[in-house]
Amino acid sequence: MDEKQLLLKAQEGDIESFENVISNYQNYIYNVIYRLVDVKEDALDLTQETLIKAYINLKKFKGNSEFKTWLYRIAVNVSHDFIRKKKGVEEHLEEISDFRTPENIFDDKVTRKIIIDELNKLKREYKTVLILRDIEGLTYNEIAEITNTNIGTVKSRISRARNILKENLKKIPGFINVVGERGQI
Amino acid sequence: MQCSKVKKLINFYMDKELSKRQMEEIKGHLALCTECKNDYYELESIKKLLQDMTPVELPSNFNDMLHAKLLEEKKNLESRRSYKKPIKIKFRIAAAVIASLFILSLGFKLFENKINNVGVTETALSTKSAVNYSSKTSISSGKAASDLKKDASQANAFDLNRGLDPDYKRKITKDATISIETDSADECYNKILNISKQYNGYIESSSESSTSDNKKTINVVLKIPSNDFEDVIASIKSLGDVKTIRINSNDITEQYYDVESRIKNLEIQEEKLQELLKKASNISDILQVEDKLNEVMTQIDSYKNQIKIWDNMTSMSTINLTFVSTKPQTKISKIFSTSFLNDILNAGSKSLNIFFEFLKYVFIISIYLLPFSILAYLIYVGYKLFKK
Repeated sequence: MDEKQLLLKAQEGDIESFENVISNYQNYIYNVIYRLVDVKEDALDLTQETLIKAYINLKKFKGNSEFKTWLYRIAVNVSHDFIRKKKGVEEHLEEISDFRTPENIFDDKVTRKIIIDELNKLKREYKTVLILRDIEGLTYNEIAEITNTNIGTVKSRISRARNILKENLKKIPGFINVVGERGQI
Repeated sequence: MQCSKVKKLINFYMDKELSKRQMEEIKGHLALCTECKNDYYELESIKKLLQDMTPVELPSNFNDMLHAKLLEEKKNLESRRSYKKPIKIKFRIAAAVIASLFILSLGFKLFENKINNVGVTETALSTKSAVNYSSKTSISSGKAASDLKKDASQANAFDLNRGLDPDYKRKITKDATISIETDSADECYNKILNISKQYNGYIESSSESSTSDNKKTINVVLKIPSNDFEDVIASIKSLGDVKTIRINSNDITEQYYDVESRIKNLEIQEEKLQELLKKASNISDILQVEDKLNEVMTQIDSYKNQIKIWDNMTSMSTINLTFVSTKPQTKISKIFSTSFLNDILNAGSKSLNIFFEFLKYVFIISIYLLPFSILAYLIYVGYKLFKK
């Protein structure tokens, strides 16, 4: 049975068919949400919320877009709602990283930590496009559909997001040089 | 290609989201321009870092947890589906009931008004017939009186019958006291003259006085046929700002007919005395009977007088009118005087009043429309559901 048939069955309420379809996507969804909210426990809850929402609203899915895109869209919306609510409750604690010395930057883990931190500092829409494009590897078209914008907006957001991220990373002493060297190797 | 243009497109070059020609052009530029090349390497290295981000894995128990939740949701969905519609329908029925009640109440009010009108004409008719009847009874009573002249006890029986007869004409006196504030008391006085002419009334007395600040007060005692009493009161009310109004009516039916029957009895007595007088032969008897006759006749006269007064009172109603002019009678109209300021204040308060009146009506109308808008909304929701 292909995805379409499974989805039709799932729309009738068949849980097994639904689980069958989402099994291909749930890890991707989890990853996107995790990158967006940056806390594993929250991401797990939100992934569940996303998938349940998808199940409840499955009848609204008309097949105009890919099911994957539709799922991503719900995931992004759920995460954005979560971030918006969370913002009022607790200020994101700024971790002062004392390990940002040039020697440490060679450490893979630290490098990742730094880039994730910088990613999280970006505006929500920039962060979202970078996660969808660079981490998830989605196309511009898919991103436009997921974020409910047009391709022009997606392009300008990607361009601006990368440039801002680059400029911010350049401020960290030695970071770009080290990374650049490693990139060339 | 220039560096600035390359900078704009470099991200899309990296994502290979450009046309072939543009890709070639940028590739050529990058080979030559070290600055753009460095830029590109920096961006690419960041992109690679992001790409290499180790993906997180869902915990192994995730599927079980999700399955449990999904089962729960399925139950909820099914129960909601089975309950949803009846609730909606109930809701709509409730709204329809409210709306129809509203319409009914409105309709009923209109209907009631009509009924009242019909009732008024009916009572008018019945009073007419009552008048006819009373005139008939007066004729018949005339006959009866001539028949019964010889028998007082039968006259009393007739009186008793009258008391039981519901259609005899009631004797009611009406009077009213009204005081009105107007801009011009004189004008009102003229209008009152017209009204009294129109309704065949007359002015019993009138007096005029003015205070030191040129405020005029006119007192009028107006006599109006009692049938037109209500109409006249209504037209007087429209003359100005009614300050006080008091309407009195006094039912003297009992006393009236009581006196009337007394007269009849006395008349019978008088006739008997007359017969006695004719039969009397000696002087002392004649004198005694004449004495008694005299007494009876004066009593009859006094009762008849009373009846006349009452007839007058019931046929004509009294209206005591007082007009007070609110504005002093200014002979020379000055533009800049205290009244100018008053006029401004008046204008302001009037327009404010109108404004709030308007708001009030808007509010009232919106309340009137509320059930209909609820109904419309529900129909809209129902339509949406139907469309789905």
